[in-house]
Parts: sequence; C-alpha cells; structure tokens
Amino acid sequence: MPFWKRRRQEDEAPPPPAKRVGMSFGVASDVGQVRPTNQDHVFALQTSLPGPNGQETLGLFIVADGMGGHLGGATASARAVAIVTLEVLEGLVMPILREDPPAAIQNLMREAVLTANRRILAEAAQQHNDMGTTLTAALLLAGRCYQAHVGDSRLYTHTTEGLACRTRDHSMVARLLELGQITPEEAINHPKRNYLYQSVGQQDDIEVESDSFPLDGCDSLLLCSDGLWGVVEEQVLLQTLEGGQEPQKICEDLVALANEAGGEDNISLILVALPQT
Amino acid sequence: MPLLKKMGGRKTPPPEKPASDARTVRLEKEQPAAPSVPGTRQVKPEEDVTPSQMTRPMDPDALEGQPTGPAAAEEAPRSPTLSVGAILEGRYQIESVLGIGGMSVVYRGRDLRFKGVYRICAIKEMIDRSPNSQTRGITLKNFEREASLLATLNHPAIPKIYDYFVVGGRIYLILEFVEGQNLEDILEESLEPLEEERVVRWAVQICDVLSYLHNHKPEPIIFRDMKPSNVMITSDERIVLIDFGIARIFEADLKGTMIGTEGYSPPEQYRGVAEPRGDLYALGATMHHLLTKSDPRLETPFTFHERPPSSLNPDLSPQLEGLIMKALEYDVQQRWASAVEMRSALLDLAHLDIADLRPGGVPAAGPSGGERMLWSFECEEEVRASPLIYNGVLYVGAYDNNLYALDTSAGKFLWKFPTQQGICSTACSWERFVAVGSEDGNVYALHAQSGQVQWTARTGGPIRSSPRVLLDALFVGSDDQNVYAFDLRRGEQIWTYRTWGAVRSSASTAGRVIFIGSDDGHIYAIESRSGELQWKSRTGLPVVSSPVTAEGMIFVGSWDSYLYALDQNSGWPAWKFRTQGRVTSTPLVYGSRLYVGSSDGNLYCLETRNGKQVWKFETQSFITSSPQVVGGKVYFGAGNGQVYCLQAESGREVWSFQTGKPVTGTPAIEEGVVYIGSMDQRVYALRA
Repeated sequence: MPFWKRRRQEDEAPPPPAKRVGMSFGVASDVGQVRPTNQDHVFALQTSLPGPNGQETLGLFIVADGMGGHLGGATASARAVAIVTLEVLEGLVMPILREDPPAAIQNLMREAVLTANRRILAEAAQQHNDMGTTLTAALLLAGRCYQAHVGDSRLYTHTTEGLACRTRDHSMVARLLELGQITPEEAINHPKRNYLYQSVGQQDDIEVESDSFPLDGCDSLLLCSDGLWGVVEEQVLLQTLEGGQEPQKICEDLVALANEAGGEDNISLILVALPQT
Repeated sequence: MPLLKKMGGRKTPPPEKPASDARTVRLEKEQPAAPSVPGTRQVKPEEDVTPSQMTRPMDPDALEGQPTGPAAAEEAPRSPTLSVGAILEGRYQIESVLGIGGMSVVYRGRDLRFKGVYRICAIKEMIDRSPNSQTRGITLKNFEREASLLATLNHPAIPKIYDYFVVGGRIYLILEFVEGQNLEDILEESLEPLEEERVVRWAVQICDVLSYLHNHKPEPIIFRDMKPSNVMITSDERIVLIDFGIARIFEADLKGTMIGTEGYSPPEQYRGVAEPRGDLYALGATMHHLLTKSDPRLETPFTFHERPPSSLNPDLSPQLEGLIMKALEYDVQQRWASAVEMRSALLDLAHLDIADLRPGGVPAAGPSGGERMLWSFECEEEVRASPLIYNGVLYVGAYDNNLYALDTSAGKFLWKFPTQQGICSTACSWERFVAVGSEDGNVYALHAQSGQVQWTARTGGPIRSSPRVLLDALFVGSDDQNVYAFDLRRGEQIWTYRTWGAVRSSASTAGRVIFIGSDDGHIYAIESRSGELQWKSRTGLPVVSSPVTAEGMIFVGSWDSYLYALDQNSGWPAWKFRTQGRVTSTPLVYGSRLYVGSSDGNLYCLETRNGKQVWKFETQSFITSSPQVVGGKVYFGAGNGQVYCLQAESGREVWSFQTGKPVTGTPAIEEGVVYIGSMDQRVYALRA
C-alpha cells in the first residue's frame, strides 16, 4: 500500500482547523494637508516560522500617533514602535525559534507597552519635553488576534457584518459618549475631543487595554490613527475596503480620501487582509 | 487621570508650564478650530479653561509653598510678587507665602488696623500673567465673582471676606484665615484610607454647607469644584470650604462653561451643565477618594461604579458604599435629590453604624451558623470530593470508600456503593447512570436510583480525576499517566493517551476536543474520537486544576502559581495571572469574569479577556475548592474549614459557615441550597 494511502487510513480523525497562512497587508502614513510634519509611525511584519505545534504564521502590526512639543511626538511614536517590536521579537519570536516555552502573548505585549511608556517618560524628562504617543498593536498568531492599545488610534475588524471597532478611545469625549452624556454629533465638535486621559510616555501609571479575539469570519483588520477615522466616515471606509482592491491600493485610496476631507491631521493606517478558511 | 491634549507638530510647547499642580499638567495637541455649529451645546473655545486655571492657590502642592508632585523638580515655583514685610493699603502686612497657584498667590497676612491684637488674615492676589488677554479676562472675572459671591454669604463653613481692592493693577482679596489642614494633605499623610466615621462626620457638614449654597436666594449657588484639596479641616474637626473661584449662581437651563477638576466633576459638567446635584456627585467622588485612597484623577474618568469602594477597602460598611454610589450615579435623576436628603441618609447611617454593624463592617443580618445549615450527613471518613446533584439526589464520594446517594431535601440516606479504596473524584451523570472514579483504579458506572453496578472500567493507578461525559464516551485521567476514553454503554476502552505524569485534572470539552492537565506540567488538547493530540502547552509545574472553556479560550491553573488563558485552537498562552501559591482550584467563568482560588489563601476575580484582577478575597488559608457562582454570589470552601459566600461583583463577604475541618471540594448549588463536603466527614446543606 502506498504510504499516502496508509497514512490516510490511520488518520480517521477530522483534520485540525486549518491554520490561516499568507495574510497580506498594505501600509500608509501621510502628513496630511495641515501639519508641517508627520508625527505618526507604523510597523508591519509578517513571518512564518516553525512552532511547537507546526508551522505558524505570525503578524505584528503597530500604529502610533505621536504628540507633544516640536518634533517630540515623532520621536515618541518611533520609540514606542521600536520598543514594542523588539520586546515582541525577543519575548515571543526568539523563544519559539529556540523552542523555549512561549510567553503569554497579552502579558508580553502589555509589558512591552509599559516598557515603552517608562523609557519615553524618562527620555522626555531628560530632554525637558512632553512627548507622548498613542499606540495600537495587533499580533496575529494561529487564528487569533492579540491586541494592546493606549490612546485614540483604533483597530477595526472587517467581517460580512461590516466594521467593528475593537479598541476604546482613551479620550474624555469617548467616555462621555459611553455614558450617554453627549451625542455622537456633539462629540464631533466637543472642545475636549482631542483630550486623551492616557497616552504612552506622558504619565507614570497607564493602563494598557489588552484583549484577544479569534479571527474566524474576519476578512481584514484595519489599524489607523485618528487622522483617518476622525475624518473619513465609517460608511466610506467600508465601501473602500469592499472595493475589491489590493490592500496597498486601498491604503493609498483611504489616505487620498482623508486628504480630500481636509487632511487636518497625519494619516496612518495598516490594512491586513486575511485568507478565507 | 490628567488629560493629555494631543498636540501636533506646528505648535511649540507653552513657554512655561502651569506652576501649581503637577497632576493637572496637560499637553496640547493642535486642534484645528472647529466650525461653530449653531444649536449644538458647544462650549465656547475662549472659555475652555485649562486645568492650570482650575488649580487654585489653596491646592495641596501649593500650600506648602513648594510643589511636591511628581513633576515638581521640573517646575520652579513662580516667585511671589510681594516680599515679606510689605504692607498693602497701609493695613495688611505680608507675613509669609501660603501657596502659589496658576493664577494667584495666597499670603498669610496681619491686619495692622487692630493694634492691640494679633489678627491674621489670608491675602489672595491675582497674578495671572497669561499673554492671552482673553484668558486674563476670564481670570479677572472669576476673581471678581469670587469676591462678590463671598461677600453675600454667611456660613461657618465658608471663609469670610473682609476686603477687596486693586493696587498697581493687581487685585487682592482679604479673607478669613482658616487654620487647619486640607483633606488632600490629611489623606496623603495617612497610610491607610481615612476612618469611615470621620469621613461621615465631615460629609454631613459638607452637605450642610452645600445645602446652604444650593438654597441661596434668589438663585442657588453651585460650588462646582468639590474635592479634597478644597476642604479644610480645622483642629476641632470643623470643615471649611475654600476657593469659590468658580462657584456660580445657578441659572436653570443655562449651559455654562465646562469647568471643575478632572476626576471629581460630574459628567454633565463636561457639557456645561452645572446644577446642585453635580456638587453631590463631586462629594461622592471626594468620599470615594478618602475612603479608598484611590485618586480619581489617576483613573479612567467616571469609573467609580467599576471600582466600588469596598473592592478597595473591604472594611467599608455596605450602607455607606450604597450611599456614596448613589451620589455617583451618572444620571442626575438617580442621585440624591438634594444635599439635605444626602445629609439625612448620612445621619441615619451614623446611627446605624453603632447599633447594627459588627467590627469589620460586615452586617450581622442573615441567619447565624445554626440557621444557615439545613442538614448535614456524616460519612465514616473525610469528604474531599465534590457533591453531584442529579434529579434531586446528591451523590458524593468519601474516603471511607463509599459513593453515597442522599436525598437533597433532608439529607436522608438512599444508598451507598463501596469501592475498594477511598474516593476523591467527583461523580458525573448521564441518562439513568452516575459514574465515579476510585483510588482503587476503577471507574464505576452505577444505576442512579439503586446504586447497582452497570459496568466497571479499569486503569493502572488511582483515579483522582473526575470522569466527564461527552456524547457517548466518558473521559478520565489516572495516576498511571494516561487519559482514558471509555464507551459510555459498556465501559470498553476506546483509546488512551499517555502523558508523562499522573493525570489528576479533569477533562473539559469543546466541540470534539477534550482538554486536560497532567502532573508533567502540560495541558493537552486531544481529539475525543481518535485520542490524537491536537496541541499541548507547557506550564512550569503540575496541572491538577481542570481546564474550563469559554469564548474560544481555555482557562486553567498550574502549581507554578499561574492561572493560564490559552487559545482553544492552538494552545498559545494569551495571558497568565500570577498568584502567590499553587493553583489547584478549577477556575469558574461567569460572564466576563473568572473566579479562582489559590493556595496563597486568596480567591481571585479576574477579567477573562486579559487577566486583570478585579478583586481578591483573603481567607488566610489555602483554597483548592473551585468556586461556583449563582445569583450574583460566589461560593467556595477553604482550608480553614469555612464555606464562604461573597458578592460576585465586589468580593464582599455575605456570610461564612464554619465546618470542623478543611473544605477542599466544590459546592453544588441548586434551588437556593449549597451542598458541600468537609474533611470533618460531613456533607452540609446550607441556605444560599
């Protein structure tokens, strides 16, 4: 009996759920129409590597929207992106390759953001500036998305149901909205709409929002700064995502839409298209 | 938390930071001017008063004359504009600086008019140097308002104003000098939350003065900035409200300026609504802070209901907690209707406190030990296993080798089935049968009604794992290191899976996969039909706790002291939570919360999505029992022999019941009765 048939017979159990491999992504970061500099930074990485239970595809995607005096904001967002990436590589990717026990992913990501917070805070104190950044990170591994988030950048999932925002904006206006104290219309023009109650690098104590969810039924993930979600309506976002274009082209189209809408702020986004199971 | 305003690249940082309160330093992000939309309740931009403006000279940092906050080192205080000895208006002599705020300096002064006596006063000087004339205008207006407001008020808890004048373009208020310490300083000096009784006494007085302000004629006055640093406590425990800089006459339905202190201000104030019940919210926030030592300025705004005071200070009486939480309702209509109403509730409570509360704040209400117990049943040996309730019958194994069947209503003995050795495994049931594992290495399937043997299945070692049923198979672990699948009808072995340690954990199932831990430190995911490994995930030490599945995750404890959350499909650890001892207890997931005990003596309540601790309850004894939640209450046993009932939301103790020996098993709860075994050889039925 040929070996493939033999194997087939032995293996009567249904195959384990198919692993999602081969995601593709697009990235864009644009200065916009009003600001002189782009203080946002983004990071995207996809890799395939041997894991304890077989070949795994791992994706790491980060959007950081810098703020603070002069060019400090750009420094803070770059630092945050680099620190979180390095911590994840050292805490997760390297151990997988070395066959060490894996770190708990949400703990690792939360700690990475806290490390970024401490280091940026220290650097800002040295330089006497008040730089800080938002940070939204998504790690995709074995059919699950692990997220860490501080500030008002966002992570959306796109399914047949439409767009769902997976993050909470850490802004006063978002809190007032959550409590039903103001209407969405009032939020748009609220004098405190740009006030965050926490960010990376501007206070000792931050609470990193940490969560995870299975990617079942999810067509794509969108990470973006408020330069996109604040000016391009969700309906328009959705139409563009569903336009059948390649992820990179969609990113560029969305930047163009944000600029047409005034481009008040820097515009940054990552779109991750997931394979269908 | 301090608000951080996002700032873009074009704008340079302000030339100097607000000088007074480090906590209110915020950063400004360039905000393109919003088009003013007519008809929206929009606060005028020129009235968007910054926290530095909200910070007034009597603030704690400032009172010492030098900032003490975290950013203090970076911020040199402004130098006072008047030197010691200077005399204003030929009458008020500067003696020292009491505090420096963003817009004013407060001096201690002497009134020289009264020659024979040493009469001191407070001198408040407006020092706003804002380059922005609009801002200056607001500051000036606030200052004038404070002066004229104080001039019309007469209450022992409000400082008197003696004089108001302008010298060299600067404005001065001469105020009653209040000797004492503000509440923020008192709280900072205290290592613990402040005493409940003291806080209630102050709160009653604060309600008094708020009521005076709110009933001011012709229009009520809203204080708008109730917070610990604005309340002085004199040496005889009297309260005095200070800083009326932003208090305003209430005009019904008039949308005003958003103003106040982040953390204490009510939500409606952020849309410009200031009304009397907003002061009650801020008083609630102040009391919450005093009684928990958890600073609302450092927390996510408006999250008091997620942090009930008793979760931070378990000694707090439930009555006072209820009173505070009512003041902190988001919805104005749900709060106390008036300061008078809140005051009388506080007075009732002060009375209650003495009469009806046991030490530690646990209400004495509810049945005592005797009334709690409905019945108990004595076995011949320790009861370590957990009871199973099935069709009105309680099945429980004991170390006397027997599986007992008892009638749940009265604890009446129905039958017992003897195995060859002790039983610490919990029974499972299906159709007309129950099955249990024994130290003798066998699984016995019995007729539920009679205890007659249906089949016996053999393993190679003692069984401490509890059998579980999925479809037509029964799964159980054995000390012989194998996981077994038996046919449910005849007890024939379907497959075995070999681990590298005794399997004492019990399986959970999701879809067609079973999850089980082993003393080899791994958690295994095994396909239920084939016995084929799907994945395994490593912890540091034996996994005796049984996995539970919820929302695509596996939750399980390990003797390495962690509680793990694993992705159900891949076994990747999403998060882990560290306790200080072995986690043998099987977690319970209820809604978005997870409850688990540890041998460190704590019962932990965690958020399932990220392992964040919501509360913990200390028993000062080991917990291997697995908690159960019914009707908003969590039940479990502990090594000290107690059976506990806690509020699931807050972790506050509702009752406890003392048995004679450690309680290691898990309670079964049905129709308002908690059934649990103890190593004192008894099975108890307790009123839930």
